[in-house]
Amino acid sequence: MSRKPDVNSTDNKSGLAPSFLQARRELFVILAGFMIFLIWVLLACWVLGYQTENGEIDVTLGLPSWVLLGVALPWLGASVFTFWFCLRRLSGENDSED
Amino acid sequence: MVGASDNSALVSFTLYLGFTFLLAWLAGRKKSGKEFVGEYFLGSRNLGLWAFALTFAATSSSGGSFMGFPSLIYVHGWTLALWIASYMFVPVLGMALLGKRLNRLARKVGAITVPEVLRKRFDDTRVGGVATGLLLFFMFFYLLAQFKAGGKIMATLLEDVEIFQAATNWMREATLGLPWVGQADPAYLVCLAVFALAVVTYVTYGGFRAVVWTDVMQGVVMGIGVIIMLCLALSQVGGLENATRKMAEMTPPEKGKATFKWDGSGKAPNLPKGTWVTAATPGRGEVTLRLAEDLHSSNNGKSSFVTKALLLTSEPERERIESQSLPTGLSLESLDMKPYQSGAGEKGTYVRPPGPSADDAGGFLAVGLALSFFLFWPFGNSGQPSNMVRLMAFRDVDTLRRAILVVCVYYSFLYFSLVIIFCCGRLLLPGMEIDPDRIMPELAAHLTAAAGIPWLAGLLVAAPFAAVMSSVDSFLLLVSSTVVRDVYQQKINPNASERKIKRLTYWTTCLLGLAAALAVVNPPEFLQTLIVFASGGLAGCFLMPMTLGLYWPRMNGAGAMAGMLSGLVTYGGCYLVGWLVHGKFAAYSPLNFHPFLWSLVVSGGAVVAVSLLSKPPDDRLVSKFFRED
Repeated sequence: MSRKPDVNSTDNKSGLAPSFLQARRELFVILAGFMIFLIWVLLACWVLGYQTENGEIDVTLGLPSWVLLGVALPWLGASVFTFWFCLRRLSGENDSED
Repeated sequence: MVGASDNSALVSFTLYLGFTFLLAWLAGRKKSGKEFVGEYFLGSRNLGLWAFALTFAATSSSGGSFMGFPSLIYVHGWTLALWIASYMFVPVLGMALLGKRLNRLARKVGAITVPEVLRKRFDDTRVGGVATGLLLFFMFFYLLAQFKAGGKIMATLLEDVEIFQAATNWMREATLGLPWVGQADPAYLVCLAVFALAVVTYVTYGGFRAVVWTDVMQGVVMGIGVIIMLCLALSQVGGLENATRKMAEMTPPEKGKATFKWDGSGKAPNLPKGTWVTAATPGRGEVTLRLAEDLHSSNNGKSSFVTKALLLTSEPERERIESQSLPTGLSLESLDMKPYQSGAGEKGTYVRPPGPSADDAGGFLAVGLALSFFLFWPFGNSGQPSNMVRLMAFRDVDTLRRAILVVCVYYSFLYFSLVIIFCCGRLLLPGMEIDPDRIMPELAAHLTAAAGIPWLAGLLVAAPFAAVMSSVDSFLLLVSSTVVRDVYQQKINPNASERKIKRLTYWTTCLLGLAAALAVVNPPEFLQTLIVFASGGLAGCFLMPMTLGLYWPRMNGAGAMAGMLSGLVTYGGCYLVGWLVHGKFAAYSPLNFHPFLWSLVVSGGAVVAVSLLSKPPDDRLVSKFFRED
């Protein structure tokens, strides 16, 4: 279901633990994902929301269109990203030492 | 004003508190026989999926989610969807950014508290000392604010209950003439006493496990409350599309003062706060007003009355109001109303960013501020020590993975639904701008009464109470663990026996709770600002040192201290400048970015610069935390 730490990684020449290297890669994936959604949300809301004139209100599926495309849709996308990250990227190693 | 909730609110609260104590008792039984400190403060690091997911979600959702946030939605409309949008990333950023590494490191060194993690990571008692000082400083404000919120919410929700009114009268007489306590509002005092007693009792007895179990129940109560409100609100406004289109027709009200004249005929005027009146004015024709304070004839002989009032300006709101004509002899002499600085007279302002604002000509959410909040929520959440403690307590990575998914679904549903519910609230209950913090209980009462199920209001209004309680119990335990573990065990008596630690822990939790309750008997007005101050300050001081400490082997103790202290100085500096510029306790936000973001940047820069400029960390430490699996 999820990735195992890559013990043969070339980074491992540094002597750093595979679990640490894997956690660091995951950190970069999270931050990259966050940046993508930040840009999407602000760009869509700027163009479809902030730039509209008085009285120009498009409504789609009951939501103002800027909310649908600038908040609801990226929210759905972020949820898909979260599921993908947790199920496919987050290392499945068991950290419990009990 | 609530009315409809009446005894159902009392029944709900009684049941709710009963369940809370039952869970605390069960948690207390579970802890017997285990190592005391690890079990009491961290639940033996064995939290399963639902416990971990819901304690994380409930602790992050404080009273603000159910009182402050709804009031903002009501006042500013759909733009709050953008304001809260980055909660889409809070689960993955807040839990996965630090979760795995922090949990592993804390287990490895047997750390129980956040300062202890930092101290052991850098093998430097000064780092632990600075972290303890900062944590106690900021958490003190946080704890006070949450106690106040608990007392206030309870007072709002129970004000129409007969037994509560009797208790209030008794309290008024009992505290009459007493110093400090006698000056407080007796209704608030009754609630504060009940709230503090309940929280202190179950936290002291049950420790972390009780806090977590009650958080789970509180998380469920919040979720159920939101589901019911969403269904009722949508059905009563005739669907979301209808609600949005009608909101697009609305224009912001005007706030100001109305002067009424009484000619002495008829009954002396006596109109309570919240009364709707229709009256004619020379300049504006017939207007619909809502009184924002009582208008009564206590001053005999007076013929002119000036009162705060709200003037509706749009038809969709006016058509929902059943206003009354002024009583015989009373007439409206003049109006001194101020239109909103942004959005006044503009149709569509409630469904488009930046949203209307009474005070800011740039609107409620200028685009720079939107970016600021997008960064604030996920990173601010990651940097909260109360969340870090939870990340130290989950059982294994599989639990973390599934918990992130649960919180992701929970938050998506919760926050998006709240925006929809309280946008509908704008249509269903016009004129709440006179007291927007009451929109949650008022709407709950309105929705259930209109649906013919008024008894359900009790369950709905338990949701904000649950939100506050789930935060305050966590903060209380966090402060208590810091005092016992990082101050007493570390500085005063490292060889204290378990029995002694146990006794000290109970007394500390108990005394801290009671002291916090006593301190907010007469809460200062700017306490809400203190919540923002405390949460931003904690994240600004702790997030970068903790994140870099977990992911950057080259970082050393000097860098950690520089990060925490520079975060404090930057954050405190912004508030100091804000004080000088605004003349009150408020943040100064350079370039419209919250001080938290500036403190994050400065703190991160200081960690990197000082670490690189000072001696590298001991190789033994690097191996221990970064080379050994």
